[in-house]
Amino acid sequence: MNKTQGIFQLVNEEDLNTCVNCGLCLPHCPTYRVTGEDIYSPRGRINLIRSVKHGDLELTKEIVQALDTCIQCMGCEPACPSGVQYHSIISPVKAEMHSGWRWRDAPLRCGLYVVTHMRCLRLFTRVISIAQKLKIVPKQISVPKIDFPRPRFNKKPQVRSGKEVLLFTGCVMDAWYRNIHLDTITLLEALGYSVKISGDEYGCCGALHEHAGFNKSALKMQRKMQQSESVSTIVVNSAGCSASLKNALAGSRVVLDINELLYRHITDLQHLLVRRNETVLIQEPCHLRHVQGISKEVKELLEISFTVTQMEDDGLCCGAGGSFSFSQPAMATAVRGRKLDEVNRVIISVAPETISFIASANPGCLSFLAGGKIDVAIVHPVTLLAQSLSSLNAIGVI
Amino acid sequence: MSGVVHTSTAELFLVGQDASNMMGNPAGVCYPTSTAEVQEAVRWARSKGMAFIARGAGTGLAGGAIPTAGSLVICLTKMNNIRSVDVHRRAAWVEPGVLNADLSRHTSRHGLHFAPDPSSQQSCTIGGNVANNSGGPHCLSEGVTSAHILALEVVLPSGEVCILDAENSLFDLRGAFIGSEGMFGIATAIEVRLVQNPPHVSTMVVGFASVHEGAMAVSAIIASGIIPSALEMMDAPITRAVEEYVHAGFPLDAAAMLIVEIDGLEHSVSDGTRQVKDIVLRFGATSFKVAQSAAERALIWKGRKTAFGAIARIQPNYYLHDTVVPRKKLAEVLSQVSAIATEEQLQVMNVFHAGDGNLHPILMFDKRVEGVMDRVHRAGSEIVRVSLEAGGVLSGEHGIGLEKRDFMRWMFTENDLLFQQKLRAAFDPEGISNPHKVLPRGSGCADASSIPPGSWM
Repeated sequence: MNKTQGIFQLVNEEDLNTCVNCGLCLPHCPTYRVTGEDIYSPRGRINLIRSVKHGDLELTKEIVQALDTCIQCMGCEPACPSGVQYHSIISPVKAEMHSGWRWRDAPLRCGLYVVTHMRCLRLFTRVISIAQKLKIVPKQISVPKIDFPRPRFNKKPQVRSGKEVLLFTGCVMDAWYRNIHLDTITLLEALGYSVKISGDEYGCCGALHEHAGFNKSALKMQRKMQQSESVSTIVVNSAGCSASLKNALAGSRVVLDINELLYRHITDLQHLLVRRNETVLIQEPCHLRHVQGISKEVKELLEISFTVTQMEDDGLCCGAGGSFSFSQPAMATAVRGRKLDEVNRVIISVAPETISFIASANPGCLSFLAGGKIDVAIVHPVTLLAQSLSSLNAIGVI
Repeated sequence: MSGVVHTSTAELFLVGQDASNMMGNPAGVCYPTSTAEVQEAVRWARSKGMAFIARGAGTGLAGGAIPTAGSLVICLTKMNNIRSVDVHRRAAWVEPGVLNADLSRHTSRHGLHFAPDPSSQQSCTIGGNVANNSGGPHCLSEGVTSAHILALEVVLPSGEVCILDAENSLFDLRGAFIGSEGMFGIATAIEVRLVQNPPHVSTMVVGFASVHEGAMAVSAIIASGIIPSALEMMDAPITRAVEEYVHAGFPLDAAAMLIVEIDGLEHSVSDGTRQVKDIVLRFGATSFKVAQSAAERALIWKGRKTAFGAIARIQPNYYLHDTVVPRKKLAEVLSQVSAIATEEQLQVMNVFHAGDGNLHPILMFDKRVEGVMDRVHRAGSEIVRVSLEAGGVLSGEHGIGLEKRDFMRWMFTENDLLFQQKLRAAFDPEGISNPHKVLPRGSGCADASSIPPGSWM
């Protein structure tokens, strides 16, 4: 009997059969782009999964490596003319590979433990912020410059009568990027919303765990969210989390990515925002563009105040990929290198001094890109919009 | 060298395949990054008595990139630099692993592009385009790859490097090398001709009540003296499959649909569009639409160029044929193709370069159904037979590879094949560069051994 029989049985046969091996996905895969090797391509990975499932190939260390290095950016899905549902192939595979103990997953498991325990996360953040002051942070840890003490939320909401929304504050997003939450609240209140904060009670949504294949932990956290008696509309300003929560809470809550919600108010924002003589380069998070199909929204929102320029790489991943940059640093750095080349190409073609910001709507991309060598400030689009509110109109005038 | 040859089962399994349904038996794979490394790989293979095969993105449909005889696969995807662009000469030196669409994207800032645009252009490499002398919808007016290659730097099967061009060599051997399907050596640098992006473009989508009327209109357009930049036909089943995916507004009630594109200066484009409209209406067009924006045009082409992939929405496997017939026989051959498919109880769809009579009948099937492969093989051979009988040729642009190798005798005499074999031997006397391809068994002394499993013939 073949050793590998019984592996990957949860992968749907029809999903595997949809792939006709045409190769049109290849250039849309960041790991194929940097390696040029079939084994690091969606077509190759599907072929390997199918063959292991059927017992034609053994699950060798090369195949494990090929599957471990899939960032799951889903750039291949919109590119596929056959409509292969790649996520439904790779997710059960990742989950199965992480269902048992592997020593190499130990640092990743530790990291994921930290983000789900807000006290640990705050302690870790504190340590990092001190280390940053002393300039002793190891280079491989991509953490943004952290403000300490962390800015506080306003105790009293500025708008009380408006439509209620719950701002999902999350884990890393709250510990490292509290300012983006404050900017989000400023914008939402300017649009007349009454904003509630989800806070530590819910903490991490499990997107990082789900993405890395630790589905059990992810489910635990998602259940907590489902059972919570909270506001019916949840707003999320981290693209990875909004993608995951939309899926987990489908049917019970309305989950909106902040860009999606703001876009609904684009005419109001046209009155509220002032024109700025600056250029923004958009970096599209995979979970926004490929998974949620949100792309033109960010562009049109930023165009209210800025000149906007875009990359020409079909939204190729930056390499962050949730915890990917932590678990596969070599591949992630190579992928980021390619993204930075594209950034530099655009900067040079537009004229270096004119690009003031790079906008990216996901904390993973923000911190990972900031770890690369770019001289331009990398910020969340919400921050740019909040800073462009004309002072007269800000805060609940509508 | 042996240190950088990968031999893991998983990697060999993957580089043993391309976009066809065949499976090869490679002995190793390496990823050179320079001409010197390609040379080293070729010499290493020779020293081990191995054959070798160049590989690009593996998007070929005729099995040209399927490694036979335990070859060393020399994968050129890491040689993907655009070395220089000469805007004044409208030329660029590129490495073979550069993707076709990347090259045009790179030169778009100069208002230039590389004209051959195979449907797989987003993935396929320039090296592969050279090997297969690739075409594409816009080759109707611009010509195929051989019309766009100025010079080639080639590693010969002997391990020597030489330049093939028109000016500095005694013989201009570019024509021999382009389209040689990897049997004459490996191109390690390619100087391509770039053409100007058209100032004005008009893309029309025309519906017809029958394939016959559509085919007649195609002949009439060409006969009128208009040379469209592209002239493509899709039949009703493929139009429906594609429309479901791209939403380009294709006419779903039509039995056949033409995409006609005209480019050039403003007035000639508007004149041409009017003329085409007159002609298609005369041949009973049921709908006529002109793309109103660049985005609409892009969507139409996305639909056309990803059409064959959309087939998986209907059946899990397909066999895409590639024969060419005289334009005036289009309607007749298409009805024969449809009869062949009915006879073998297979579904068939047609999406093809109508302007140059290049058919792409797609037979759809589920290979898990018992006996279906035999029916597909039979239908495939029949399609080739009727195309040749109509005065056509074996392949328009996909190449002969392994797929059509044994049909060569249907088209060429023993003498023809002998001379082709002699030309091959001039470049590769030992037959170690991509063995067993194109030339049928027995047509020469070299390449006599087993064919890979899964091979069609």
